[in-house]
Amino acid sequence: MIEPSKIFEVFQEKQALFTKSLNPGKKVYNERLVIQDGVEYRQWDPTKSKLGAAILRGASNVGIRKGDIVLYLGCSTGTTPSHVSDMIGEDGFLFGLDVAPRVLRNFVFLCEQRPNMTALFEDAAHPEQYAAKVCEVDVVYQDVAQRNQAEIFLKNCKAFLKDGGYGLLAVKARSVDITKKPAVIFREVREQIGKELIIVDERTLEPFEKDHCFFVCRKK
Amino acid sequence: MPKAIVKHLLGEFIVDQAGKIVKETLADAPLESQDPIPSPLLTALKAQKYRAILRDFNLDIVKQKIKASVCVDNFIGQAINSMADLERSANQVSRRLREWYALYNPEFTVSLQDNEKFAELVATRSKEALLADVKARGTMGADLKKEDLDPILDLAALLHSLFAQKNALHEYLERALSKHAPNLKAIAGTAIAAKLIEHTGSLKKLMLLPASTLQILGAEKALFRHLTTGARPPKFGYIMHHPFVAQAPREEKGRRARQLADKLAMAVKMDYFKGEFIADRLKKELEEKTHLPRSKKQAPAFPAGKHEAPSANAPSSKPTPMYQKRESIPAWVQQDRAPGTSSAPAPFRRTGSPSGEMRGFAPRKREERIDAGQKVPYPHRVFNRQFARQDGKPFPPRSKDERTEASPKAPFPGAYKRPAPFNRPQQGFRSSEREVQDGPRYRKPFDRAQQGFQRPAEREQDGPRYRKPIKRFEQEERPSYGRARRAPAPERSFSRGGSNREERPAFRSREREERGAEPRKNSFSRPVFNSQRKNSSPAQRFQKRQEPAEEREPRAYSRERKPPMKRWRK
Ligand SMILES: C[S@@+](CC[C@H](N)C(=O)[O-])C[C@H]1O[C@@H](n2cnc3c(N)ncnc32)[C@H](O)[C@@H]1O
Repeated sequence: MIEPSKIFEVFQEKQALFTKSLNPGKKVYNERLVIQDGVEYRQWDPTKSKLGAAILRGASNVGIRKGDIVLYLGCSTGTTPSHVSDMIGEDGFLFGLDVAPRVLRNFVFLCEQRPNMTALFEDAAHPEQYAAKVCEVDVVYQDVAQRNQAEIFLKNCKAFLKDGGYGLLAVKARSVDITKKPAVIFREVREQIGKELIIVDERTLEPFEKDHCFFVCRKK
Repeated sequence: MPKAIVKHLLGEFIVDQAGKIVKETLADAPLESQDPIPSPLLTALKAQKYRAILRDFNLDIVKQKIKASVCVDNFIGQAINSMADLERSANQVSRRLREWYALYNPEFTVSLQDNEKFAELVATRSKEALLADVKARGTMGADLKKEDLDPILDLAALLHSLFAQKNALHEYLERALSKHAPNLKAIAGTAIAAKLIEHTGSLKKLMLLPASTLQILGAEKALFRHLTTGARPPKFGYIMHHPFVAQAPREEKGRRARQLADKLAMAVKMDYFKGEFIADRLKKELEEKTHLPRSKKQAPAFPAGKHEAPSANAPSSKPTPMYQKRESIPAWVQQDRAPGTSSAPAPFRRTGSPSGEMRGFAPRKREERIDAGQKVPYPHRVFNRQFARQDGKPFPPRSKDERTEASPKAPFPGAYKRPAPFNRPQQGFRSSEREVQDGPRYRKPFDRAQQGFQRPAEREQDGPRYRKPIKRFEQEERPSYGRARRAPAPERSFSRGGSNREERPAFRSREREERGAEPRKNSFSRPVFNSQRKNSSPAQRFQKRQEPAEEREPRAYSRERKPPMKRWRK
């Protein structure tokens, strides 16, 4: 029995997460489709999506609601963005941004199937270069495997996030510095983003991803 | 009121000083713009009416950009990967073809090792011609019908075209690289040059790498192992297969890889910025280095003996010394020799070239020096990451006490302590002479009484920790047959026992005596009843345990039975 979970727009059956499919009948990454009471749900694989992992690890608030505008940095082929797109629904909007043309190609195909998504071929480290292509957003989600993740995240939040909007950051310790302990890196990131944002939630994604940490922040 | 025109992807907006939109002109096609966008305008653009345009314009731009991002680098990457695929498939098909064709013509199959040639000949020539070529006297191969032979020949034709395709790709790569990266291609060779570009993604990214990274591209696994666990760093990645490195003697390979990577880095930069062709010069410089007398074969290491430092004026037999040769062993080396032991090995051994140009000294093996009776400090050199300090500062020197306390390998206090060995006294362990000599082999058991251990009061109060055994056998008598566990009391009284005298065994034995017969040796085979034993019923035994044993020495800490271990349940 699929029921609403404690996160808005996310559904749950025991340990399995679901979102209401915006594009019924289509799989995005070969996930399971379940129809219940005439509504189609897509199962959310927490091992392939860090947001899904964070929710299963118990994050109580990820700041995404129906009708939100989301800036998604590092959208890759669109595994997580597709679920975010489900969550925000028809009235929401998602800008997906990536630097790698190979993965963006698949993402463009996904965008064409969903009316609430678009793609940008840009480097997240230079927000000034795509400032004229987006609008203000309610949520910034960042998952780029880069050394200066936190810095990029703050720049984008400063430029595009509305006051009181949510910033979600997935930190991969191994791409910051593989010689440091993950806990040390997470502490540094926490200190860095804690100066400008309010950290609402922080959790490691242990059984699903190794040495990853997920931060949920709110802009002051 | 001053107003400003701001260009956005969607069109041109005239905004006032506060950033409010005064006038908007939406464009038909996406506009190029790098303008900074005032935040009130950004907020205004959230409106639902702009959504569809935002989406479509951005998708249009992205499609164009992705289209424009395709370049020669992609082709080179795909071609080299395709070549690797073809090679793998060709090897697999070759093995199958040989196996299959050998049923028909084994003599020719074993005579030719080269797969490419083999495929070509099988596909184009007849069995008779091939047998004649190898001058076989008769054949072990079966005569096949046409319908059985055809699939074999088809497979051979396919294999032949696989090889042809692979060669065509190689030529394509050569042409592409000659235009795109001529310097890199000339030094690294086609395959390695293509692999390097494929690995980084583009010539630009390759150009941005330092020579040291270029040297180990393709050895990421080893590099990360080195960084995380402190294992040895890799010496080379893809450039391992370059003849300059591959044909070097083992001890030279690392150095050669570094030299080659240096030149490659220069070549790539020249290529990216469309500079002149410098590969010949770089190659010549590399070749000069190969002629340096570095390998052991060219010059014997130390003629005087393997481990001895050469005497100051040993005749040198080196063709072209590259470095200024030191005239004598420096003073500090000689000082470090153990005093009075002229034959002892010097504490340092030469490193670098075995041919004798001095480049440095490394400490001699610890064991060697200990054998020679020298004083040898503990090795401080520990490369393990688990000991390394995160901040990169040197470790504080260790005092002698810390060293004995921690493991001798610990580089700083508290780094790693070997857990104290827990030696339980073995059962049946007898103290031997050795133990008397050098102390006990195990720690004494912890004596709670000595430590003034007292049973806490509340434990007494809340009752015993275990159930009392149920007194099941209080009155019951259980005969035990066979030998009694305990030897019966030597004195036996006859007052106890059954009424029938004849049946009493002791009586019978007296009878025997009277008869003059030998007393029965084994008188234990009669039934012994527990009640006949002293304190022998379980109840009695339990009773006895409960009574305070006055005659026994009172124990400071009375051992109680431990409560039974709690069962783990779900
Ligand atoms: C781990 S993947 C993200 C996966 C995605 N979040 C998901 O769960 O489906 C990281 C992506 O970030 C992209 N990326 C890395 N650096 C970037 C940058 N500076 N700007 C934009 N994207 C970047 C990479 O191309 C890659 O596709």
